[in-house]
Amino acid sequence: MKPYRKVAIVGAGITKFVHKAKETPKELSWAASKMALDSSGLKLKNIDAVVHGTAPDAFDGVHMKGEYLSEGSGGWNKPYLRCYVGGGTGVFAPLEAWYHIASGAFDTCLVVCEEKMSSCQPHPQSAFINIFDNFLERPLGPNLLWIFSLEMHRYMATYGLKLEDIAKVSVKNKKNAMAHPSAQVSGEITVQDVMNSEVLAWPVHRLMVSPTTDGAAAVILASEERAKQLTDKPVWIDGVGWSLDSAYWTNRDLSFPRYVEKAARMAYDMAGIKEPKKEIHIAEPYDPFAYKELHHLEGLLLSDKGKAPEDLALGRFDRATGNLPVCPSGGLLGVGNPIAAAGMMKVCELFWQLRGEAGARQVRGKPRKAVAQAWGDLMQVGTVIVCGVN
Amino acid sequence: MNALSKDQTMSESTTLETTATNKLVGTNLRSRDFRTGGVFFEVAKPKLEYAWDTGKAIGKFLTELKKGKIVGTYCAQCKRTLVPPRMFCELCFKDIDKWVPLKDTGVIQTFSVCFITWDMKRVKNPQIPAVITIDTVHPPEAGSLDKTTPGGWRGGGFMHLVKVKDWKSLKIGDRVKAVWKPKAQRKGAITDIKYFEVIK
Amino acid sequence: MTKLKTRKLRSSSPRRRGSSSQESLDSRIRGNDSPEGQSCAKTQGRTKTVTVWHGKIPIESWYTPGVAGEKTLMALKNQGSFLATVCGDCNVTYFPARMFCERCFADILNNEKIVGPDGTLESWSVVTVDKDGKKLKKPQTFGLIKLDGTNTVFLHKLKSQALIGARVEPVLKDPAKRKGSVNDILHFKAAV
Repeated sequence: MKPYRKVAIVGAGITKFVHKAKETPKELSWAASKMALDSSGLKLKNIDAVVHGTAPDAFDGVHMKGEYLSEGSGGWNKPYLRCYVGGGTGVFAPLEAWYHIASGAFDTCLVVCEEKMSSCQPHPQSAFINIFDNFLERPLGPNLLWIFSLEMHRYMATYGLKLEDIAKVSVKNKKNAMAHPSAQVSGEITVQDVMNSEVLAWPVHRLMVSPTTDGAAAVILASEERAKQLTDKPVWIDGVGWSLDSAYWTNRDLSFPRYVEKAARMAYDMAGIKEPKKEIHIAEPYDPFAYKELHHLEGLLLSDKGKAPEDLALGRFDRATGNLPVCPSGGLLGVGNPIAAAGMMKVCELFWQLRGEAGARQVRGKPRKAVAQAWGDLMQVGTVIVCGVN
Repeated sequence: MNALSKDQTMSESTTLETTATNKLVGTNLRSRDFRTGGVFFEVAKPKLEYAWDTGKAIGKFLTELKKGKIVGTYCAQCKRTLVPPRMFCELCFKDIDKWVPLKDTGVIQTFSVCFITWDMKRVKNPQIPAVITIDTVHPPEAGSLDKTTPGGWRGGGFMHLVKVKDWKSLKIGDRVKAVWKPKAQRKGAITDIKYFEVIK
Repeated sequence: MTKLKTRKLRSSSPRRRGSSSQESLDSRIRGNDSPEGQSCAKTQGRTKTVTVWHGKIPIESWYTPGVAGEKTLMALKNQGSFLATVCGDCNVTYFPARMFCERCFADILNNEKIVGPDGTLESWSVVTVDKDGKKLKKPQTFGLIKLDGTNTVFLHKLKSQALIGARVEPVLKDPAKRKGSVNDILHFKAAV
């Protein structure tokens, strides 16, 4: 891919991630967008276009949710686009915004992702389970946990992995999240706590699952010229990639997310990264379930197939001491999982980390290149963004 | 495309940490707030009812299930049997070549044991969903058998439920057979197969 | 000149040509809350081929009015008054109250202003069918009302038809019956 010009992230904002928010979806969107705008030094009138990412309309219970959220996203009277690829949306939205600017069409873009899952009663699963095939799967009375537990079991069996090794992801991320001001479910737990938590759908235990969450997060993108006027620390978008696998999920091997690999290669090629294990300093893979972080690290080519649990156990991904800190934010397991906004939370984290503004979560050693990845649908979509500072 | 005006400065370091001390937006409610009048709220229950056309492929698949048979379609270019069947192969994007009869036995490629309902209530008797690849009548086509994974992921299969006395004895790679509803109870639905059980 | 033909509205559940027992199937499905749908078999030649699958997607949504919306509903419930918020820079007064100005993005949550209670009717319409296309027993009139002191409109019921530009006033429920909902206003009627 040969973009017309360079694009940078110049501001970021986020709300608290809570279980049931009093705020409306518009209020959540506005709060994150406003914080991002203020941090960039721009006013709404300086924004040329807006991209909004939000997952199924059924969560917030509003048809045409993108349009509904437009003024809460600063989209009033502006070119506006809403995108949606399930959980992959959080990284897909900045990708959409990226080509708004890389193409030369616009100079600045506000990108915000929002989700209010708590509107969906009695549980957001009543919307979620419609991802299953209406003819052949829904009549069996499925549960969204099934797709994760089926994939997790296949992953474990293929490589002979142990539950205890996977449980370490929950321990790491919930602890990392204690330093994140938005965190919903942070805390110090042990591997034993995870193993003792109730089995929901074996092999998935309760403490291996991210919560349902309401929240929003946003970034401001600018062209190279505008970015240099606004800040002396622009975070460049070096590479983007996205790929969608077949919806016939029962016809493919679930032990490896090949669609994440495809998206990652696209992003790494564009960024000129030849050895991701050496050249990437921070990774924020999508972690709605503990095993997913490991599964995605392998898809991102940051660990060999089947070896991510071993790398984790060896401390390679530790925030303070590892050579590739993974989910220094605390991830979805620690901060929360408002479906579309979760991936955007990771992009915001890259922004703060690469500028040295991550406070108590800061990865030491002046990291320069980082990758964030989000995933969604029926184990289908990989969206990847590579960011860097000079 | 506005030029930077004089009231726009280089962005200050307004970080998450500095904003957090001024309070991030987000007010957490409790479930009891909704029960006790601690929050105003409105309720909507839209009526969403659908009549989905099955299309040719699923229509025929369900019709054959009613007869107690499993069928698939075949792509000669990719040399793979497609089940659930479809009228085109999504890998090479051409029409399928023929319909093929399949057996009602197969291999468990993965399974789970689920102790909760979709609305997060605990159940005594767990459900065991599994992804089962279905045996073809003819020997597997070249290239469709992945020998690197336990049991070999053969590519053509669907999700269904497994019934077994002790779920701890179940393994990926176990061979299973469909247990059908009696003919009079079959409707042309995936549930015409009650469940799959392990065979030796 | 060709006369415009108006088509009579169909009742709900349109018949599918060739389908068997469509309406009895519909009534069976309506009572069926299980995740399993029903297949409807269409006769085609000598063999019965399955062509349609019926199913439901049960969704229930609970909506909070938000931090700003709650202010408006509190004022309506407790004082019977209409609370708006104002953006001084853009000269817009929003009713119901909003947390932010959609035009300049400013935080206006605390820029409160009591507006109305009377207003001007900007538009109205009479609805004669429900959302399923069935005829309503009694037609319902709705209006877009611009309360005095605001420059936004909001939707509510009208007691009866009135001219655009007419002055209207709210009829509220008894204080004891108000719940903090837009229905604490029964309707608007022509101001005396």
